[in-house]
Amino acid sequence: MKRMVWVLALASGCVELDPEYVPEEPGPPPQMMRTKTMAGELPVVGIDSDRAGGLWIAYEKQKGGYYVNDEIILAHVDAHGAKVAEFKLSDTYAEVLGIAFDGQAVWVNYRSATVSGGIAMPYVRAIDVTSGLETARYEVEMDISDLEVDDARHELLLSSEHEGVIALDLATGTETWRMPGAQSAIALTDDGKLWLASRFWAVLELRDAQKNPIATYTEDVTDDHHVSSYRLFLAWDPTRHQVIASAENQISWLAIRGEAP
Amino acid sequence: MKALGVLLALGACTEPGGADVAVDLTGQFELTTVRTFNGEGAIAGIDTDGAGGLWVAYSAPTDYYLPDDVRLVHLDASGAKLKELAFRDEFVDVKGIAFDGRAVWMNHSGGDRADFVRKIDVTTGAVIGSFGTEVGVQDIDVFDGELRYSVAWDQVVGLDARSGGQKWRAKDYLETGGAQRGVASMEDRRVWVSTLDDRIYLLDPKGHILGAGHHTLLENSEWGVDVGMYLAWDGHFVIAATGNVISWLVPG
Repeated sequence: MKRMVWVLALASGCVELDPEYVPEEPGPPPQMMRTKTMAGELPVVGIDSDRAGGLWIAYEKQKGGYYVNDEIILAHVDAHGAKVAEFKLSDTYAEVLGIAFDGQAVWVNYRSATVSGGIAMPYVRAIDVTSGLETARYEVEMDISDLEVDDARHELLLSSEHEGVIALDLATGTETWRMPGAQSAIALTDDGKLWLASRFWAVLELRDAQKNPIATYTEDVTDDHHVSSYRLFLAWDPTRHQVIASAENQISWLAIRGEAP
Repeated sequence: MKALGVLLALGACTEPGGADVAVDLTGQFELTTVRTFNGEGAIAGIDTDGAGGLWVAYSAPTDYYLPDDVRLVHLDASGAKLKELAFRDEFVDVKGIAFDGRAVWMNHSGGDRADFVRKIDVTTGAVIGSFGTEVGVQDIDVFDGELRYSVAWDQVVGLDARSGGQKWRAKDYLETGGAQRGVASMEDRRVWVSTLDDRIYLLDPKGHILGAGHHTLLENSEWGVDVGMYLAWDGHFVIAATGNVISWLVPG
């Protein structure tokens, strides 16, 4: 128990950043500016806001070789980065990419899995954050790389690398709409705007509630030369009104440069 | 015994926390080997202990389906072993360690998106923290509350050691194509970085190359072969580990 407390204590905290951090970087500064950063405790496979300034984070922990099921850890950290809850799940031999919190459950995206006799279809499942039990499961399309929940429309949004954004009714799993695109990650603001992370460039696109493009902004949590190789996840922090990006196990709160946070 | 004689002879000039070297470290200069030490096995990381000694990580393979054995060894200034802690690599190779005065940070980097660092209490051997890391971290260092990563493709990243949050990233100062390895910080925020050739570079605190020290630690035929090139700085010497050999280099 004492050791666990130590781990919790030391793995906590965030860094509030000065707008201009050193050292100098070549080229113009990105239009999206990091205002706060923290590292995941382990390799990150999904994030979402807890709607109170904190985060739900999914970690992947290797437990052995190829034939051993890895462990997925759902951790809840508060606004200061301190861990307040944790659930351990199996990855069921599938790659986990992307989570979303609906206020009661964390939805976890399981990509295609190799099983006896072939490839299992990918699925999403909801884990109740009080009990840790699965409360829903829907089969989904291939190549889903991030999730988001739309509270107002009661929808689960799937970010598909090839099919754009696909919306499912949270209660039934029935598709309600889709929007073409090729983004890697998505986040929905509290006023219905959609942030989309490009799969090909270090750019975030903002769309209005009707899905019309508003603007694009360069960022530096990824690199133009290798964007497609990043595991990138987005979330929206309603308390700071900033988009949160997780790339390569580094979690960053981003504000548009020149706009006061 | 001969090695011990060399160690004792050098003892007077290896006091910890010494002032920065006075020589000009801009442009091209030589890094002369003044002392070597053969490790017990393949070295996976080194750092100074702040008292003239070293922390050394050794890694030894086991069965393919089992994690490798990792030993963390504390040597005093004479090379005598003071402590040894045993770990498993959790299926991700150890590449670089850093000592912050109370704990050793151990970097695990395997390129399969499962990379992490863990913080080890050197009194108990207990793991007291961890952070997930980006792909390509080859060596680590701690300096002034920062955990610093050397990333293979010519980047140095500074993180807050408490939260793991990124504070800064220096890049585009070299083009080794993935051959950057070691990192070690000087007292005045300058940073040494090693590559898999015959140079160890010195960066200023803004991430610009100040100078390049020439050494002969690697045979020309080994350039580009990943034999490791871990770095530490003790206030006077650049300490480099490659293969199972630790070398003390004096700049000037």
